[in-house]
Amino acid sequence: MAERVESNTAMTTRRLLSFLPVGFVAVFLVLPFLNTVATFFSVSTSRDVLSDPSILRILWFSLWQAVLSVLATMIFAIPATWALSRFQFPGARLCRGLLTTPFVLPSIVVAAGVLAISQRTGVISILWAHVVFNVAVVLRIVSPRWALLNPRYEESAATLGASPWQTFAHIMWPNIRSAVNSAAALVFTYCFTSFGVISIVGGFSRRTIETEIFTQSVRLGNTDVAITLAVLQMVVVLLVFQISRPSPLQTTSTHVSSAPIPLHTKPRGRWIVLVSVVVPVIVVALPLVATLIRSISYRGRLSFHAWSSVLGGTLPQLTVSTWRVIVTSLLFSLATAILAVALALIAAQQMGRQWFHYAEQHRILRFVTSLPLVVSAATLGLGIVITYNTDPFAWRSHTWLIPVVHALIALPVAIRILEPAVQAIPPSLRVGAALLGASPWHTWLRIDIALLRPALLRSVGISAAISLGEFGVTSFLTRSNSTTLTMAISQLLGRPGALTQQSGYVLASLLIVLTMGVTSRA
Amino acid sequence: MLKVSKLSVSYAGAPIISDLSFEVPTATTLAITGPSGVGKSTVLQAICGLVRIAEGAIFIDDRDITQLPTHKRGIGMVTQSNDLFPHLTVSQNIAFGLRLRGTSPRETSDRVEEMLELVGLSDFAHRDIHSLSGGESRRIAIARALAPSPSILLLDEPFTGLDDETRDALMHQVKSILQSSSVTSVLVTHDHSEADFLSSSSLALVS
Repeated sequence: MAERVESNTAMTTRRLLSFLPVGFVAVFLVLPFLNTVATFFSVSTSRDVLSDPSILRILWFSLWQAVLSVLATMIFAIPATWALSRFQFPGARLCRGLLTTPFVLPSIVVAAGVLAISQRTGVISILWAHVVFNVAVVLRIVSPRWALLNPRYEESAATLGASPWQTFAHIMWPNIRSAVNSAAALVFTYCFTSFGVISIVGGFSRRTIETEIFTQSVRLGNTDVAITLAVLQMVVVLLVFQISRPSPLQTTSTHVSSAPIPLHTKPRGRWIVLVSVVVPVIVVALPLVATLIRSISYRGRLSFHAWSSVLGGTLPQLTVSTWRVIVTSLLFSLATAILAVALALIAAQQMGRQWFHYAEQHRILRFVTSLPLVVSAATLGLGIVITYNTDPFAWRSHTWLIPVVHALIALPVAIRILEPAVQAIPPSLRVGAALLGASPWHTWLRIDIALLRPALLRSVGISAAISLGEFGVTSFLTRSNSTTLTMAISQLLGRPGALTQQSGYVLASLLIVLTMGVTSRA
Repeated sequence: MLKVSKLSVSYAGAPIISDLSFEVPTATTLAITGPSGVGKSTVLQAICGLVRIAEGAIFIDDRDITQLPTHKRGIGMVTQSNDLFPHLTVSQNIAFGLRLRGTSPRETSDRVEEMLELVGLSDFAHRDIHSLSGGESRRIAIARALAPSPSILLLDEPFTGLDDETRDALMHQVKSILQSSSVTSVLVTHDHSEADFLSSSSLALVS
């Protein structure tokens, strides 16, 4: 194929546009992080921190609670993934929906739900909340891989005398292992850097590196200790991703996708399939149901008093009206969605279209826009608070910074939704439009945007949901006039009093409804 | 009239087309034939402005279009992959080029009807393009290319991928369309029978 024509103007525009998402991540993530490390990181402090028994206890707890969370998640997620990938039965779609929905729900809502049932803070509550979130991660990553595994392999193994367990160990497991490893690494990272869950259900005695970064920097003013912890945390996360990287051997096997088979055709053991799905559904859905129930129960009796107080607009425990909190959250989520999706669209169009000349540029763009995935919320918040604290860049007290940082967190997710959709547009459609007289602008508007509409709606919904539920960075940046729903819920659940607690559950229920609303088209 | 003068196209320094010149008089059809990989389709892409040309010039009715972007050249093209827009209906696909030119809705509607009649698919206006057969898709692609009245129509292997019966029927229909619309056209094909049947002159490319 001869060299495709691209005018100088188009080339310049392309380069300038690529700079936007890269510049955005550089200004709000790379620069703050590097600046904080350069200013506060020192070898002597690191040595002190790493030899401090209380910090070592926190590191140890962060690690083992994350490992246990991964194991607990796998115990529920792997059987459910097997059952939903392999079998078709009435209610299967509903069960899949129930298991995947919590992933977009705010961590604080899930934590509040678990607290509503367990009524106590501690490790069990932490593990439960982490399971609720992360079953969706395993299901989304492992299920497509399982669906690619031809059931005839299992049938052949059975006819050769393999028991169901041997079939799993020798046939299924080798084929899904790389997907399970990837999912486990991601779940570990989420749990290791979990902030909302630990803050709500961890209690006073359970601290992780992520919550300690917040405590050391915001409450105690020990920024040098906080940054050492942030670096330590990042090293662990990068190490885990490095170890879990699939080997070329694991990724090159070829399979034919197979549709789930009707459950009633399974000769025996149908109850195992149903239990594999029903138990995880109960574990995942129960905290959400409990949140709704707690919002209408006062000292064991049915009461809508908290609802009327919240909807009436004033809660004595909050310094601003509840309506203002709701409106602030919605405005932030709207601004986040607009900014994140606009930048993600630029990045996805650069990376998704196969421009041969720009391969190196695309690699840089992909790497930089993925960075928000490996930097934890507390590290991000800490970097921003420290870097943008003095004139002329004293942005930390500006309200606009919150949706901007939310957009930064949503950016890699939005890109991952849009990029495959951009790649799916045949380049010949753009050529066809140009031949019919469409200018590059018209082609973009009438072909690209028209075809990307479902993916755009999805990324808008998910970005808005991320903003609605964001708690970690918001804890660093929020002021009383910019209190979000997650901050308000945290404040209410952290105070004594049955009515105060109930009001917290009312706001959590509202947050569930809002999140479901913004992601309904996603 | 289409005139291609001393056209050279290269890829990564290797020449694909070298010093190619030809003319296609108004309302006639030139067939470009030759073995696979000789650069037949590249010639059409160069005429449309889809590939960068190393040397040479392209004229339509003595107007030099070499430096014009694709969308300003006023050329229609039909390829074997059709490339109908999947989010638009049959009539919306045909109207696409007309709307961009600011044609009134009434005129657009009349022209779409006329084009559908021309390709023998009058009842297909509101059909989803996914419901079309291969032959129907190809005819809609021809209608869409002709709707804005292009000065040049390029046909890149337009009968490839069709069964024999559909191919024969479509060849007859295309011949009648080319004659009735008086459009200047260039047909790229590897099949000499197609070239002989549709063209008034031919050009054989050799490697």
